Amino acid sequence: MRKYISLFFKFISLSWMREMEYRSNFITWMIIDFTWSAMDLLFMLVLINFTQVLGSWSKGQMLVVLGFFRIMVIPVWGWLFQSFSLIPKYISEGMLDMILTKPIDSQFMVSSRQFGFSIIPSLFTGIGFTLYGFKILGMFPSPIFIIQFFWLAVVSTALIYGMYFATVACTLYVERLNNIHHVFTSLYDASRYPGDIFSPMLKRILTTLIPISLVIVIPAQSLFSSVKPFDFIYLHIITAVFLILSRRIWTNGLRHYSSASS
Amino acid sequence: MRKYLTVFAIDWQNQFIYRLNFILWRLRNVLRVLMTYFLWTSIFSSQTSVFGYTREQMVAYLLLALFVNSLVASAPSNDNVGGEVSNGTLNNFLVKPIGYLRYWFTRDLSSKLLNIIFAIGEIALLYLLFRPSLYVSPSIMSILLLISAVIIYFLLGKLAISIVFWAPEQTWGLMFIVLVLMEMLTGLIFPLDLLPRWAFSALQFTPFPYLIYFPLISAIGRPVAFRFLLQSLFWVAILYYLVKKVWAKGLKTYSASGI
Repeated sequence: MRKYISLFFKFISLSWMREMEYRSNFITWMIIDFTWSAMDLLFMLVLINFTQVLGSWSKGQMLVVLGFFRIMVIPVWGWLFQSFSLIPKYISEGMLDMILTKPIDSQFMVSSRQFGFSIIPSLFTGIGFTLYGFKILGMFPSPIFIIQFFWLAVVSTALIYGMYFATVACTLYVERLNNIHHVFTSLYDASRYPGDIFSPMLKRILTTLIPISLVIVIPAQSLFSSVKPFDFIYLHIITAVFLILSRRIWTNGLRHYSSASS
Repeated sequence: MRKYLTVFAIDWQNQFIYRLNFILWRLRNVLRVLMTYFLWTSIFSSQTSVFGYTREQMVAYLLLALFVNSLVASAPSNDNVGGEVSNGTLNNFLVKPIGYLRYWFTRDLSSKLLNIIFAIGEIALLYLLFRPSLYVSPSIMSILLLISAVIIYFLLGKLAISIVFWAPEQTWGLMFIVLVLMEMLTGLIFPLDLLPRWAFSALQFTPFPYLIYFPLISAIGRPVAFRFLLQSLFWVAILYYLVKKVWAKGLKTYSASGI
């Protein structure tokens, strides 16, 4: 276990060095990230202009959820996307061979190979949106709510990891599926909206088969209202299910892998 | 001209190599329209009209935005040109009797054709699902605005990418800023006249509303002043001039590094 933790931090530090090698690129991507936050806020403001309530959320609640959505960009884009976007390339170019021959778990290796730091502005914009949301709500969460929120944020990150990895692991079965990321990230974009806006069938799908509707909403809601015990337990169970499922898809997929071009 | 037709034909065939990959790309576009649809439907559940748009008009707008976006923004050149300049593969084209940007524009057209065919199928499917009152009245004005939008998008992309001549690691950076801005400022997910008047007026001085918003509202029969067509063509002229100048300068500094 200690070896994995040490490797994880080694990969982070290597990624940082790589980012610093191309500083102008790093700064450009920080500007992009900031622009993205600004565009998200602009869209939210356009919506707020027309409606007092979106689904079951008020203006302040919408901003808190948007803030948490921006904060979650850090694990999703800064970690998962960076590492997972390399997987189709490893497979189509046969580079996975190198990973498989190393004395380390291949899933760990492909999951933590690369990190991006240019999404740092999202942390600040996310915190800013959240605080602004609380200002509108005229309240601030109690320490217990904050502790509960942090725990749920960790569980949500694990759930996103499980869903995303299960999706990209499919590239072991079908050749060239680079665009599979775009499907996942489009779904992830939907996670910032309340489940109530979707049709009952779509809502069911987005909370069970593809539980993307839970990953932002449940932790963010825990900051301004109490989480239902069912939601709390369900989030943990579905996270465990997706982590096991993604592992199964990966290990079974490796049996299909026949190397290429190496 | 014949050589470009050949490029078109070859690229058309190439697009069918990784079919599932392409279908996933289209699925992503449909998902985005679906999410936006549910969002607006939720807003219309508490009111009958938003700034003169009824629910049906908004759904029709979103569906047609899918079509216009497929036509305007399908451009594999944006994914490849930066890389070819930074890794030196541009050499292969410089020694051939073919215009590099024309070559990529031809490939973009081939991609647009395939994307439009899919977009028509997707719109038909979504139409059957939501049954909006879809009113389309294409005019010469809307066709000219669409053609102009396709050219503006191509030129804007190449202008943003040309930074790679001076900063080889920037194969995507500036282009991505354009794409992020496009997401909101072109009218892809909401009609731009929903913005405050000052913001909408300010946007008209940028190329963004001429990419989706103006061609789209013209196609759905809303009145568009002739001056917007002139402004769109003005952007074509400006961007064409800039791209020519910047690429000529860029090619002088190009050193085929990476080869």
